[in-house]
Amino acid sequence: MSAALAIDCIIDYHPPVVSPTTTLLDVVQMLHTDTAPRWKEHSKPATKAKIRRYGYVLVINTGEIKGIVTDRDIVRLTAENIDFANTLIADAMTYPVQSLQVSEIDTLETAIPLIQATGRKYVPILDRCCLMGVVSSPSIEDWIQSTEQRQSEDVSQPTKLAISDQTLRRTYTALQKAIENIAVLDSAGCYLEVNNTYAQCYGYTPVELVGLSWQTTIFAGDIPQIESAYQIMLNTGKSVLEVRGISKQGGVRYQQLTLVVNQNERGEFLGHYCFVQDINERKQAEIKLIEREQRLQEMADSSPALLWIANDQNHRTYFNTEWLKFRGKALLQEVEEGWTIGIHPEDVQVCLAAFTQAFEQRQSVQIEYRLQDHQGEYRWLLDSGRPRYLTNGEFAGYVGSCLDITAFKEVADSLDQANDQLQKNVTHNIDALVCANALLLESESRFHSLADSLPALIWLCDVEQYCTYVNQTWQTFTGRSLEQEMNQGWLATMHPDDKDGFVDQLQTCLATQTSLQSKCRRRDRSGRYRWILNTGMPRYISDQFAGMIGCGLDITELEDNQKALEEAVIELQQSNRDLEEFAYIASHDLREPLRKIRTFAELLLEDYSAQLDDTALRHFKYIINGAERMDVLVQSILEYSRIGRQVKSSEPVDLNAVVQQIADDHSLLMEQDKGWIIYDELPTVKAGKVEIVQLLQNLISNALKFHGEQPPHIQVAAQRQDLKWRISVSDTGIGIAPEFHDRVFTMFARQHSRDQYPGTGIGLSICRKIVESYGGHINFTSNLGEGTTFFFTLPAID
Amino acid sequence: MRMLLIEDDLGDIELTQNGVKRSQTDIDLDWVMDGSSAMSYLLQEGKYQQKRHPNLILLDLNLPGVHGLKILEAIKGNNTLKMIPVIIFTTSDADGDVEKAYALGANCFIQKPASLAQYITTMTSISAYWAKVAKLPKPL
Repeated sequence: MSAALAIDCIIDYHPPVVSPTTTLLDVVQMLHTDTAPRWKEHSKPATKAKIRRYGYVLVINTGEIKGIVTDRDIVRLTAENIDFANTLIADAMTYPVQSLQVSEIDTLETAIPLIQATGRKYVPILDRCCLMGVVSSPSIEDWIQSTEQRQSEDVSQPTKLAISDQTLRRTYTALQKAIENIAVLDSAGCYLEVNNTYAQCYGYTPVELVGLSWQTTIFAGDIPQIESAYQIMLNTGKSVLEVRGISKQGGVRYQQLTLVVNQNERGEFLGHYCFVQDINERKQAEIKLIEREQRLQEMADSSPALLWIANDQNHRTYFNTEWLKFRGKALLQEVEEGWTIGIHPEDVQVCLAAFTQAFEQRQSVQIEYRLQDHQGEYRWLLDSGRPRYLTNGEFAGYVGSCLDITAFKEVADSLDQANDQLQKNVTHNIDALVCANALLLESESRFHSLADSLPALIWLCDVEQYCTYVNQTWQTFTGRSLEQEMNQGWLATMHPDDKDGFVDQLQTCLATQTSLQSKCRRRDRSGRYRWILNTGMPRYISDQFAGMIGCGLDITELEDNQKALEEAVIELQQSNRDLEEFAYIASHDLREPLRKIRTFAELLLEDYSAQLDDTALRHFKYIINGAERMDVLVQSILEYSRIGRQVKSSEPVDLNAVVQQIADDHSLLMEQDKGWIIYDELPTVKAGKVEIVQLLQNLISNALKFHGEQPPHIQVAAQRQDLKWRISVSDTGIGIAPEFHDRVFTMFARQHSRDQYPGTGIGLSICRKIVESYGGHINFTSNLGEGTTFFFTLPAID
Repeated sequence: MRMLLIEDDLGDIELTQNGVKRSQTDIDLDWVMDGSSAMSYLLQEGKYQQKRHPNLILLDLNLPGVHGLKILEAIKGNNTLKMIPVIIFTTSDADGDVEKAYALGANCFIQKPASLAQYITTMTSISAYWAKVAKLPKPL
């Protein structure tokens, strides 16, 4: 291997660079994810050097190196509690940056020591001001290792060996000057050679360490680890481990040891190399992290909730005791994917998808799913996870808690069930309501059809006296529409004089829920007022008083007729009074002269009878008779006209008493004629006493008069006919000739001459008038020479 | 028995006289023909100063000027004169007249007879009743 290599093999031509305004957090992320931008300013090829993960970035501004930030710096900054997100790299970087000119390092032998002499892990190489690339100690190490490997493989070439020896020696020298802590130990594990930095690292001088066993520099507690690592190295040639080293002063620091087997070309074990890298800060940070995790876990364990912790790879790394108790599992069974065993098959996909999605977004998540508990029962858990960050802002994973919401779920289920039932009920009720509504509409329509078909004015009002409906007849009558009549419109066509009365009456009836009867005038379509008789009835809707339903009839004709009737009655009464007066006056005025004629004629007759001859006497008799008759006539007429005009008294009249009285009055006459009157048990009738007496008197006196040759035998009887009594007065007298039958009741009609039978001929007319004035009927049966029976009806008392 | 007839119709006066005469009762009949005369007579005024109070008064209702009922009222309104029984003697038999008469204090109401015979009977009855049956107050 030629030592005069250009530094191609160790230089990185495309180091990571950032601008000064990049935030620290972004830089950390870039370091973490290897996403820092690369230097591409020149046309050099891709880096040949073996580059492991970048542990630094250069801060470049306008082509000039401003500063550098390494892993170590990050650790330091973390410890200083800097706000990574809001700090610019410019404020956190290390500067100035020690660099080398390319002209100084034309060969590897010159380059490596120079580089190592800077004491820095990353050394930029500049061509004057221009950045060429960066050489890092790891890349140097790697190169050395690969060189040694090639040397050890190359056994057959002594020249190579010689060279390798030389190379080795040079390497030693280089190593000596290297800033890394490098030591060479013999096969017994004792220090052969150590470089300055190695010795310094442990607080010794190089000379002091030579000959001492490796155990000297290892913390006692970690010795077993070294021993096993040593074995691994022996087997594989290399091992890397992290242990605590102890200095001469007793200080303990974490270190990364790389042990490499040292074999000669013959394969003989010479010893080993030991490269030490101080990782104390990193390790401390790690430990802190672990401690924090542990504390977190302890806190988690002390909580009664079901807690879990996931790392930044979305793997659940920890479950607290409560969780484990709940699940009846051990931690190792649950971690990673173990906990998903037992998620209900229906919920698995959704659940995990939710967590994954949230994780990708670094968002909080809440999901319900069923998980089997220690008894194998599925319980509903409400799992809430949220991302957690370290103080440096680094995403550290998730922390979550679960709540057993099985009971809630059950309640929710029953609520859902109840809700469903409610919905069903509501739907059912709505259906019923719709149905009822349809029935109602139908019923309403039927009512309307009925109401409209009636000739009456149908109306409906509510409890507030507002009209709610009027039928077609009403609308046609008033010539107004339903809309016009509704509410208070229906009062508009009422006669102003009647309106208040009606309103008051309606109000009272509504208040007392009683029926209404009212007569009032309403204007019809032609503008005329008609009398309407309104009957209103209270109406109820499911036992609730809802107002009135009414029916109005046009009684204008009736009213007019009534009025006409009343007026006619008044007129009639007036007329009757006039007639009465007239009749009275007339009869008296007529009677007065008659009296004179008669009385003086009588006087003359008496005083001068001696001086009068027969003719004169006879003449006087005619005069006197005439006057007499006329007087009777006038009285009869007066009486006749009185019947029916006088205030009719209707009292119970015992006919027995009446007949008896008449019989007594005529007792003298009957004795003379040897006649008799007999009567059956006669009833009591409802009539005026005077008239009844008159009636029976006339009939009986007729019977007595027209007895002929026989003695007068009169019989009075009565027969009940529904609400009337049929009274009969029969005699055994001369009877009535057939040719006279139709004139029997005619006024003044006389069958016989005055000489034969006296009488005015008015008696029966009066009888008929009396009977008819009580709504009765009078007739007779008669046979000449055998007798006559008069029948008449009078109202019964009961 | 002294009787004063207050009547405007001469015919009726004559009839009454005849009736009294033919009844053969000792009625002393005097007559005036109108209301004012009647009052003067009863109050013994003017030409009637010498007249003595009658025991009975026959009063017709249909008098000229002052109606018979008014005279009745006047008579019955006078403390002295009201003692004399007044017989309304008139053609009317109207219930109204009868009631009014009695209401005003008439002692009796008789409808004028229609025939001579009845006249005689009536006078006889009046005399018989008032002279013999009833008791008259002492002459004033």
